[in-house]
Amino acid sequence: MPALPTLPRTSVSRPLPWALALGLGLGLAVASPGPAATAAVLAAGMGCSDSSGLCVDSGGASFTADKKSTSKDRKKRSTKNAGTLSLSIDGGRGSVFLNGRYVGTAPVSGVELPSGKNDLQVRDGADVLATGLLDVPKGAAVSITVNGG
Amino acid sequence: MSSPGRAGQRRASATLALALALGVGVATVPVSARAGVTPAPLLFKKTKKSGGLTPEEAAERRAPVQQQGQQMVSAGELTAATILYDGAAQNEGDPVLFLDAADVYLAMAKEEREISSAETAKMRAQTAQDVLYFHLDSASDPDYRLVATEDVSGLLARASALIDDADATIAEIEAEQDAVVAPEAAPKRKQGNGRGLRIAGAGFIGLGVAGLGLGAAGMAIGRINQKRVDDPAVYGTEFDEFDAKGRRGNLLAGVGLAVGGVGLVLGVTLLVIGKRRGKNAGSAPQESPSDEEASVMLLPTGRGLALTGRF
Repeated sequence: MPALPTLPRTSVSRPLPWALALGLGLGLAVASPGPAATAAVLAAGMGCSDSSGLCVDSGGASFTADKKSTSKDRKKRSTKNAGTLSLSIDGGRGSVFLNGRYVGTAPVSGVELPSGKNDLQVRDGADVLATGLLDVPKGAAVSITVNGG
Repeated sequence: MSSPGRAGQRRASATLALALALGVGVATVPVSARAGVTPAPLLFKKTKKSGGLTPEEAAERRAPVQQQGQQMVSAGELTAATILYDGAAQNEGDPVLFLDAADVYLAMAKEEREISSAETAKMRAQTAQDVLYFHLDSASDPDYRLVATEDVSGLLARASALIDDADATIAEIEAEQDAVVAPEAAPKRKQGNGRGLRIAGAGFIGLGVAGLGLGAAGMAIGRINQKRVDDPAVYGTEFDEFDAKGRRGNLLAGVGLAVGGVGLVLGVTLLVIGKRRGKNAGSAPQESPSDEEASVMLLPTGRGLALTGRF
Protein backbone atom coordinates (compact mmCIF):
# COMPACT_ATOMS: atom_id res chain seq x y z
CA MET A 1 0.00 0.00 0.00
CA PRO A 2 1.64 3.27 -1.06
CA ALA A 3 2.04 5.93 1.63
CA LEU A 4 -0.51 8.71 1.51
CA PRO A 5 0.93 12.01 0.39
CA THR A 6 1.70 14.37 3.27
CA LEU A 7 -0.30 17.53 3.14
CA PRO A 8 1.63 20.78 3.15
CA ARG A 9 2.18 22.22 6.59
CA THR A 10 0.11 25.26 5.78
CA SER A 11 -2.97 23.22 5.05
CA VAL A 12 -2.96 21.29 8.31
CA SER A 13 -4.75 24.14 9.91
CA ARG A 14 -7.46 23.94 7.20
CA PRO A 15 -8.35 20.24 6.72
CA LEU A 16 -12.02 20.72 5.90
CA PRO A 17 -11.66 22.26 2.40
CA TRP A 18 -9.15 19.54 1.46
CA ALA A 19 -11.45 16.78 2.62
CA LEU A 20 -14.40 18.38 0.83
CA ALA A 21 -12.47 18.73 -2.43
CA LEU A 22 -11.23 15.16 -2.27
CA GLY A 23 -14.68 13.82 -1.52
CA LEU A 24 -16.25 15.84 -4.31
CA GLY A 25 -13.64 14.70 -6.79
CA LEU A 26 -14.00 11.05 -5.86
CA GLY A 27 -17.75 11.26 -5.94
CA LEU A 28 -17.79 12.79 -9.43
CA ALA A 29 -15.29 10.27 -10.74
CA VAL A 30 -17.34 7.32 -9.56
CA ALA A 31 -20.71 8.71 -10.59
CA SER A 32 -19.90 9.85 -14.14
CA PRO A 33 -17.57 7.75 -16.27
CA GLY A 34 -17.98 10.28 -19.09
CA PRO A 35 -19.54 9.99 -22.53
CA ALA A 36 -16.46 8.44 -24.18
CA ALA A 37 -16.04 5.84 -21.51
CA THR A 38 -17.59 2.50 -22.11
CA ALA A 39 -17.78 -0.15 -19.48
CA ALA A 40 -18.75 -3.29 -21.25
CA VAL A 41 -19.78 -6.34 -19.34
CA LEU A 42 -21.03 -9.22 -21.37
CA ALA A 43 -23.19 -12.06 -20.30
CA ALA A 44 -21.41 -15.30 -21.04
CA GLY A 45 -22.40 -16.99 -24.24
CA MET A 46 -23.44 -13.88 -26.15
CA GLY A 47 -21.56 -12.31 -29.02
CA CYS A 48 -19.72 -9.06 -28.45
CA SER A 49 -21.75 -6.19 -29.83
CA ASP A 50 -20.34 -3.42 -27.68
CA SER A 51 -19.46 -0.27 -29.56
CA SER A 52 -15.96 -0.40 -28.11
CA GLY A 53 -15.43 -3.72 -29.89
CA LEU A 54 -14.50 -5.39 -26.61
CA CYS A 55 -16.63 -7.26 -24.11
CA VAL A 56 -15.54 -8.47 -20.70
CA ASP A 57 -17.05 -11.91 -20.33
CA SER A 58 -15.95 -12.53 -16.74
CA GLY A 59 -13.46 -11.50 -14.07
CA GLY A 60 -15.07 -8.31 -12.85
CA ALA A 61 -12.82 -6.04 -14.90
CA SER A 62 -14.11 -2.95 -16.64
CA PHE A 63 -12.95 -1.59 -19.95
CA THR A 64 -12.88 2.05 -20.90
CA ALA A 65 -12.37 2.53 -24.62
CA ASP A 66 -9.90 5.02 -26.10
CA LYS A 67 -8.36 5.91 -22.77
CA LYS A 68 -4.74 5.61 -21.72
CA SER A 69 -3.22 5.06 -18.32
CA THR A 70 -1.66 7.96 -16.47
CA SER A 71 1.73 7.74 -14.81
CA LYS A 72 -0.13 7.38 -11.52
CA ASP A 73 -2.09 4.41 -12.93
CA ARG A 74 1.17 2.82 -14.05
CA LYS A 75 2.67 3.25 -10.59
CA LYS A 76 -0.38 1.71 -8.98
CA ARG A 77 -0.27 -1.40 -11.12
CA SER A 78 0.73 -4.37 -9.09
CA THR A 79 1.95 -7.77 -10.13
CA LYS A 80 1.86 -8.87 -6.52
CA ASN A 81 -1.78 -9.86 -6.83
CA ALA A 82 -1.75 -10.35 -10.56
CA GLY A 83 -4.62 -12.06 -12.29
CA THR A 84 -4.81 -13.69 -15.68
CA LEU A 85 -6.12 -12.60 -19.03
CA SER A 86 -7.83 -14.76 -21.61
CA LEU A 87 -8.80 -13.10 -24.84
CA SER A 88 -10.40 -14.34 -28.00
CA ILE A 89 -11.47 -12.62 -31.18
CA ASP A 90 -14.92 -13.27 -32.54
CA GLY A 91 -14.77 -13.58 -36.32
CA GLY A 92 -11.28 -12.42 -37.01
CA ARG A 93 -7.66 -12.42 -36.03
CA GLY A 94 -5.35 -10.11 -34.16
CA SER A 95 -2.56 -9.64 -31.67
CA VAL A 96 -2.87 -8.53 -28.09
CA PHE A 97 -0.75 -5.77 -26.60
CA LEU A 98 -0.80 -5.16 -22.88
CA ASN A 99 0.82 -2.15 -21.29
CA GLY A 100 2.70 -1.30 -24.44
CA ARG A 101 4.04 -4.74 -25.24
CA TYR A 102 3.10 -7.75 -27.34
CA VAL A 103 1.70 -10.61 -25.28
CA GLY A 104 0.43 -12.94 -27.96
CA THR A 105 -1.74 -13.53 -30.97
CA ALA A 106 -5.35 -14.34 -30.17
CA PRO A 107 -6.59 -16.52 -28.73
CA VAL A 108 -4.43 -16.01 -25.66
CA SER A 109 -4.93 -17.41 -22.19
CA GLY A 110 -3.17 -17.30 -18.85
CA VAL A 111 -1.44 -14.01 -19.60
CA GLU A 112 -0.27 -12.35 -16.38
CA LEU A 113 -2.49 -9.35 -15.72
CA PRO A 114 -1.44 -6.83 -13.08
CA SER A 115 -4.18 -5.49 -10.88
CA GLY A 116 -5.07 -1.88 -11.53
CA LYS A 117 -5.44 0.01 -14.77
CA ASN A 118 -3.83 -1.65 -17.77
CA ASP A 119 -3.47 -0.39 -21.30
CA LEU A 120 -4.93 -2.94 -23.65
CA GLN A 121 -4.91 -2.90 -27.42
CA VAL A 122 -5.96 -5.57 -29.90
CA ARG A 123 -5.08 -5.03 -33.54
CA ASP A 124 -5.11 -6.77 -36.86
CA GLY A 125 -2.32 -5.17 -38.82
CA ALA A 126 -3.11 -1.52 -39.25
CA ASP A 127 -6.67 -1.95 -37.93
CA VAL A 128 -7.20 -1.41 -34.22
CA LEU A 129 -9.97 -3.76 -33.08
CA ALA A 130 -10.09 -2.41 -29.53
CA THR A 131 -7.99 -0.05 -27.47
CA GLY A 132 -8.46 1.36 -24.02
CA LEU A 133 -7.98 0.98 -20.33
CA LEU A 134 -8.76 -2.26 -18.54
CA ASP A 135 -9.32 -1.87 -14.82
CA VAL A 136 -8.57 -5.17 -13.16
CA PRO A 137 -9.39 -6.22 -9.59
CA LYS A 138 -6.71 -8.05 -7.62
CA GLY A 139 -6.15 -11.64 -8.69
CA ALA A 140 -8.96 -11.60 -11.23
CA ALA A 141 -9.19 -14.12 -14.04
CA VAL A 142 -10.44 -11.88 -16.79
CA SER A 143 -11.98 -13.26 -19.92
CA ILE A 144 -12.50 -10.99 -22.90
CA THR A 145 -14.07 -11.30 -26.32
CA VAL A 146 -13.15 -8.83 -29.03
CA ASN A 147 -15.31 -8.31 -32.06
CA GLY A 148 -13.13 -9.10 -35.06
CA GLY A 149 -15.72 -8.17 -37.68
CA MET B 1 37.20 34.08 29.27
CA SER B 2 35.74 35.00 25.99
CA SER B 3 32.34 36.57 25.61
CA PRO B 4 29.48 34.71 23.84
CA GLY B 5 29.59 37.20 20.99
CA ARG B 6 33.22 36.50 20.19
CA ALA B 7 32.69 32.74 20.44
CA GLY B 8 29.86 32.97 17.95
CA GLN B 9 32.03 34.96 15.60
CA ARG B 10 34.76 32.31 15.86
CA ARG B 11 32.29 29.45 15.07
CA ALA B 12 31.01 31.34 12.07
CA SER B 13 34.54 31.96 10.83
CA ALA B 14 35.43 28.29 11.29
CA THR B 15 32.36 27.19 9.37
CA LEU B 16 33.14 29.56 6.53
CA ALA B 17 36.72 28.37 6.44
CA LEU B 18 35.60 24.75 6.26
CA ALA B 19 33.15 25.48 3.53
CA LEU B 20 35.76 27.40 1.58
CA ALA B 21 38.31 24.66 2.01
CA LEU B 22 35.87 22.00 0.81
CA GLY B 23 34.79 24.18 -2.07
CA VAL B 24 38.32 24.92 -3.21
CA GLY B 25 39.31 21.27 -2.72
CA VAL B 26 36.53 19.92 -4.85
CA ALA B 27 37.07 22.56 -7.50
CA THR B 28 40.78 21.89 -7.87
CA VAL B 29 40.72 18.09 -7.95
CA PRO B 30 41.52 16.95 -11.50
CA VAL B 31 38.62 15.41 -13.38
CA SER B 32 40.37 12.06 -13.63
CA ALA B 33 40.67 11.90 -9.87
CA ARG B 34 36.92 12.19 -9.47
CA ALA B 35 36.18 8.74 -10.78
CA GLY B 36 32.88 7.48 -9.54
CA VAL B 37 31.37 10.86 -9.14
CA THR B 38 28.51 11.34 -11.53
CA PRO B 39 28.76 14.61 -13.38
CA ALA B 40 25.83 16.81 -12.55
CA PRO B 41 24.28 16.87 -16.05
CA LEU B 42 24.11 13.06 -16.09
CA LEU B 43 22.02 13.05 -12.97
CA PHE B 44 19.18 14.51 -14.99
CA LYS B 45 19.68 12.48 -18.11
CA LYS B 46 16.65 10.36 -18.94
CA THR B 47 17.67 6.82 -18.18
CA LYS B 48 16.19 3.70 -19.72
CA LYS B 49 13.39 2.27 -17.65
CA SER B 50 14.15 -1.04 -16.06
CA GLY B 51 12.98 -3.81 -18.38
CA GLY B 52 13.29 -1.49 -21.36
CA LEU B 53 15.02 -2.33 -24.60
CA THR B 54 16.69 -0.39 -27.37
CA PRO B 55 16.73 -1.51 -31.02
CA GLU B 56 20.49 -2.11 -30.72
CA GLU B 57 20.04 -4.36 -27.70
CA ALA B 58 17.23 -6.18 -29.47
CA ALA B 59 19.48 -6.75 -32.47
CA GLU B 60 22.20 -8.12 -30.19
CA ARG B 61 19.73 -10.53 -28.59
CA ARG B 62 18.38 -11.55 -31.95
CA ALA B 63 21.72 -12.19 -33.66
CA PRO B 64 22.59 -15.56 -32.05
CA VAL B 65 19.07 -16.87 -32.70
CA GLN B 66 19.28 -15.84 -36.35
CA GLN B 67 22.75 -17.35 -36.69
CA GLN B 68 21.62 -20.66 -35.23
CA GLY B 69 18.46 -20.60 -37.32
CA GLN B 70 20.39 -20.02 -40.53
CA GLN B 71 22.69 -22.93 -39.70
CA MET B 72 19.65 -25.15 -39.21
CA VAL B 73 18.13 -24.02 -42.49
CA SER B 74 21.43 -24.68 -44.28
CA ALA B 75 21.51 -28.17 -42.77
CA GLY B 76 17.95 -28.75 -43.99
CA GLU B 77 16.57 -28.85 -40.45
CA LEU B 78 13.62 -26.64 -41.28
CA THR B 79 11.31 -27.88 -38.55
CA ALA B 80 13.97 -27.30 -35.89
CA ALA B 81 14.51 -23.79 -37.28
CA THR B 82 10.79 -22.98 -37.05
CA ILE B 83 10.72 -24.14 -33.42
CA LEU B 84 13.73 -21.97 -32.62
CA TYR B 85 12.38 -18.87 -34.35
CA ASP B 86 8.85 -19.33 -32.98
CA GLY B 87 10.04 -19.64 -29.39
CA ALA B 88 12.33 -16.63 -29.56
CA ALA B 89 9.83 -14.49 -31.47
CA GLN B 90 7.05 -15.24 -29.02
CA ASN B 91 9.24 -14.54 -25.99
CA GLU B 92 10.46 -11.22 -27.26
CA GLY B 93 7.49 -10.26 -29.42
CA ASP B 94 10.17 -9.61 -32.03
CA PRO B 95 8.74 -8.83 -35.49
CA VAL B 96 12.04 -9.65 -37.22
CA LEU B 97 12.07 -13.15 -35.74
CA PHE B 98 8.40 -13.60 -36.67
CA LEU B 99 9.36 -12.77 -40.25
CA ASP B 100 12.34 -15.15 -40.08
CA ALA B 101 9.97 -17.88 -38.86
CA ALA B 102 7.57 -17.06 -41.70
CA ASP B 103 10.42 -17.41 -44.22
CA VAL B 104 11.25 -20.88 -42.96
CA TYR B 105 7.61 -22.01 -42.86
CA LEU B 106 7.18 -20.83 -46.42
CA ALA B 107 10.31 -22.65 -47.56
CA MET B 108 8.96 -25.77 -45.85
CA ALA B 109 5.58 -25.37 -47.55
CA LYS B 110 7.21 -25.06 -50.96
CA GLU B 111 9.50 -28.02 -50.36
CA GLU B 112 6.95 -30.38 -48.82
CA ARG B 113 3.90 -28.99 -50.65
CA GLU B 114 2.05 -28.46 -47.37
CA ILE B 115 -0.77 -25.95 -47.14
CA SER B 116 -0.61 -25.88 -43.33
CA SER B 117 3.00 -24.64 -43.41
CA ALA B 118 2.10 -21.90 -45.89
CA GLU B 119 -0.80 -20.85 -43.68
CA THR B 120 1.50 -20.72 -40.65
CA ALA B 121 3.96 -18.63 -42.64
CA LYS B 122 1.14 -16.21 -43.38
CA MET B 123 0.11 -16.08 -39.72
CA ARG B 124 3.66 -15.31 -38.59
CA ALA B 125 3.95 -12.52 -41.15
CA GLN B 126 0.60 -11.11 -40.02
CA THR B 127 1.77 -11.16 -36.39
CA ALA B 128 4.90 -9.29 -37.47
CA GLN B 129 2.64 -6.73 -39.13
CA ASP B 130 0.61 -6.36 -35.93
CA VAL B 131 3.76 -5.73 -33.88
CA LEU B 132 5.20 -3.32 -36.43
CA TYR B 133 2.03 -1.26 -36.72
CA PHE B 134 1.75 -1.24 -32.93
CA HIS B 135 5.31 0.03 -32.81
CA LEU B 136 4.07 3.12 -34.64
CA ASP B 137 1.12 3.53 -32.25
CA SER B 138 1.36 5.88 -29.30
CA ALA B 139 0.15 3.06 -27.06
CA SER B 140 3.43 1.19 -27.49
CA ASP B 141 6.05 1.33 -24.74
CA PRO B 142 8.56 4.01 -25.78
CA ASP B 143 11.21 2.34 -23.66
CA TYR B 144 10.78 -1.05 -25.29
CA ARG B 145 11.80 -0.79 -28.92
CA LEU B 146 12.53 -3.99 -30.77
CA VAL B 147 13.26 -2.25 -34.04
CA ALA B 148 14.23 1.24 -35.03
CA THR B 149 11.29 3.28 -36.26
CA GLU B 150 13.04 3.94 -39.57
CA ASP B 151 13.22 0.18 -40.21
CA VAL B 152 9.50 -0.37 -39.74
CA SER B 153 8.40 0.43 -43.30
CA GLY B 154 10.97 -1.95 -44.79
CA LEU B 155 9.90 -4.72 -42.44
CA LEU B 156 6.23 -4.08 -43.25
CA ALA B 157 7.02 -4.46 -46.95
CA ARG B 158 8.82 -7.73 -46.21
CA ALA B 159 5.76 -8.97 -44.28
CA SER B 160 3.45 -8.00 -47.14
CA ALA B 161 5.58 -9.82 -49.69
CA LEU B 162 5.63 -12.90 -47.48
CA ILE B 163 1.84 -12.89 -47.15
CA ASP B 164 1.41 -12.58 -50.92
CA ASP B 165 3.91 -15.39 -51.49
CA ALA B 166 2.16 -17.59 -48.92
CA ASP B 167 -1.22 -16.98 -50.59
CA ALA B 168 0.20 -17.84 -54.00
CA THR B 169 1.80 -20.99 -52.61
CA ILE B 170 -1.48 -22.07 -50.97
CA ALA B 171 -3.32 -21.58 -54.26
CA GLU B 172 -0.65 -23.57 -56.11
CA ILE B 173 -0.75 -26.49 -53.69
CA GLU B 174 -4.56 -26.51 -53.64
CA ALA B 175 -4.59 -26.72 -57.42
CA GLU B 176 -2.14 -29.62 -57.31
CA GLN B 177 -4.20 -31.43 -54.71
CA ASP B 178 -7.41 -30.90 -56.65
CA ALA B 179 -5.75 -32.45 -59.67
CA VAL B 180 -4.75 -35.50 -57.63
CA VAL B 181 -8.09 -35.91 -55.85
CA ALA B 182 -10.23 -35.51 -58.95
CA PRO B 183 -8.13 -36.52 -61.90
CA GLU B 184 -9.08 -34.96 -65.15
CA ALA B 185 -11.83 -36.95 -66.73
CA ALA B 186 -10.25 -39.66 -68.82
CA PRO B 187 -10.11 -38.47 -72.37
CA LYS B 188 -13.21 -39.62 -74.12
CA ARG B 189 -12.46 -42.66 -76.13
CA LYS B 190 -12.12 -41.40 -79.58
CA GLN B 191 -15.20 -42.39 -81.38
CA GLY B 192 -14.23 -43.81 -84.69
CA ASN B 193 -15.94 -42.99 -87.88
CA GLY B 194 -17.61 -46.42 -87.95
CA ARG B 195 -15.32 -47.86 -90.58
CA GLY B 196 -14.47 -50.88 -88.42
CA LEU B 197 -18.11 -51.55 -87.76
CA ARG B 198 -18.91 -51.36 -91.42
CA ILE B 199 -16.15 -53.82 -92.23
CA ALA B 200 -17.29 -56.19 -89.51
CA GLY B 201 -20.88 -55.83 -90.66
CA ALA B 202 -19.90 -56.67 -94.22
CA GLY B 203 -17.93 -59.66 -92.94
CA PHE B 204 -20.94 -60.96 -91.04
CA ILE B 205 -23.18 -60.40 -94.03
CA GLY B 206 -20.72 -62.40 -96.08
CA LEU B 207 -20.75 -65.10 -93.45
CA GLY B 208 -24.54 -65.02 -93.39
CA VAL B 209 -24.77 -65.34 -97.14
CA ALA B 210 -22.30 -68.21 -97.05
CA GLY B 211 -24.30 -69.84 -94.27
CA LEU B 212 -27.49 -69.46 -96.23
CA GLY B 213 -25.79 -70.93 -99.28
CA LEU B 214 -24.59 -73.82 -97.18
CA GLY B 215 -28.07 -74.24 -95.75
CA ALA B 216 -29.58 -74.23 -99.24
CA ALA B 217 -27.03 -76.80 -100.37
CA GLY B 218 -27.80 -78.93 -97.32
CA MET B 219 -31.50 -78.70 -98.05
CA ALA B 220 -30.88 -79.73 -101.62
CA ILE B 221 -28.77 -82.67 -100.52
CA GLY B 222 -31.41 -83.64 -98.02
CA ARG B 223 -34.19 -83.43 -100.58
CA ILE B 224 -32.27 -85.47 -103.18
CA ASN B 225 -31.43 -88.18 -100.72
CA GLN B 226 -34.96 -88.15 -99.36
CA LYS B 227 -36.20 -88.95 -102.85
CA ARG B 228 -33.66 -91.75 -103.13
CA VAL B 229 -34.58 -93.39 -99.88
CA ASP B 230 -38.23 -93.03 -100.75
CA ASP B 231 -37.57 -95.11 -103.83
CA PRO B 232 -38.79 -98.66 -103.07
CA ALA B 233 -36.03 -100.09 -105.22
CA VAL B 234 -33.42 -98.76 -102.89
CA TYR B 235 -32.78 -100.82 -99.85
CA GLY B 236 -30.10 -102.45 -97.76
CA THR B 237 -26.66 -100.89 -97.76
CA GLU B 238 -27.64 -98.46 -100.49
CA PHE B 239 -30.61 -97.23 -98.46
CA ASP B 240 -28.39 -96.72 -95.43
CA GLU B 241 -25.90 -94.79 -97.51
CA PHE B 242 -28.52 -92.41 -98.92
CA ASP B 243 -30.12 -92.10 -95.54
CA ALA B 244 -26.79 -91.04 -93.98
CA LYS B 245 -26.18 -88.56 -96.82
CA GLY B 246 -29.64 -87.15 -96.35
CA ARG B 247 -29.10 -86.72 -92.65
CA ARG B 248 -25.78 -84.94 -93.28
CA GLY B 249 -27.56 -82.73 -95.80
CA ASN B 250 -30.25 -81.92 -93.27
CA LEU B 251 -27.63 -81.13 -90.66
CA LEU B 252 -25.78 -78.97 -93.12
CA ALA B 253 -29.00 -77.19 -94.00
CA GLY B 254 -29.84 -76.57 -90.34
CA VAL B 255 -26.40 -75.26 -89.44
CA GLY B 256 -26.04 -73.28 -92.63
CA LEU B 257 -29.42 -71.62 -92.35
CA ALA B 258 -28.89 -70.80 -88.66
CA VAL B 259 -25.40 -69.37 -89.20
CA GLY B 260 -26.59 -67.57 -92.30
CA GLY B 261 -29.53 -66.00 -90.52
CA VAL B 262 -27.50 -64.86 -87.52
CA GLY B 263 -24.69 -63.62 -89.75
CA LEU B 264 -27.03 -61.61 -91.90
CA VAL B 265 -28.85 -60.01 -88.98
CA LEU B 266 -25.62 -59.18 -87.20
CA GLY B 267 -23.94 -57.95 -90.33
CA VAL B 268 -26.78 -55.66 -91.30
CA THR B 269 -26.96 -54.27 -87.75
CA LEU B 270 -23.24 -53.52 -87.64
CA LEU B 271 -23.36 -52.00 -91.06
CA VAL B 272 -26.18 -49.66 -90.09
CA ILE B 273 -24.44 -48.60 -86.85
CA GLY B 274 -21.19 -48.07 -88.68
CA LYS B 275 -22.80 -45.88 -91.25
CA ARG B 276 -24.55 -43.79 -88.60
CA ARG B 277 -21.31 -43.31 -86.67
CA GLY B 278 -19.58 -42.30 -89.83
CA LYS B 279 -22.20 -39.65 -90.44
CA ASN B 280 -21.90 -38.36 -86.87
CA ALA B 281 -18.13 -38.18 -87.07
CA GLY B 282 -18.47 -36.24 -90.23
CA SER B 283 -15.49 -38.03 -91.57
CA ALA B 284 -17.26 -40.68 -93.40
CA PRO B 285 -16.18 -40.61 -96.96
CA GLN B 286 -18.69 -39.32 -99.35
CA GLU B 287 -20.11 -42.37 -100.89
CA SER B 288 -21.88 -42.72 -104.10
CA PRO B 289 -25.39 -44.09 -103.83
CA SER B 290 -24.17 -47.37 -105.17
CA ASP B 291 -21.48 -47.57 -102.53
CA GLU B 292 -23.78 -46.85 -99.64
CA GLU B 293 -24.54 -50.43 -99.04
CA ALA B 294 -22.58 -53.57 -99.43
CA SER B 295 -23.91 -55.69 -102.20
CA VAL B 296 -23.68 -59.33 -102.88
CA MET B 297 -23.34 -60.37 -106.42
CA LEU B 298 -22.82 -63.43 -108.39
CA LEU B 299 -19.30 -63.71 -109.70
CA PRO B 300 -18.92 -63.38 -113.47
CA THR B 301 -17.69 -66.98 -113.55
CA GLY B 302 -21.02 -68.05 -112.10
CA ARG B 303 -19.24 -70.08 -109.45
CA GLY B 304 -19.58 -67.99 -106.39
CA LEU B 305 -20.82 -64.90 -104.68
CA ALA B 306 -18.89 -61.68 -104.15
CA LEU B 307 -19.41 -58.98 -101.56
CA THR B 308 -18.67 -55.53 -102.78
CA GLY B 309 -18.84 -52.08 -101.24
CA ARG B 310 -16.73 -49.28 -99.85
CA PHE B 311 -16.12 -49.20 -96.16
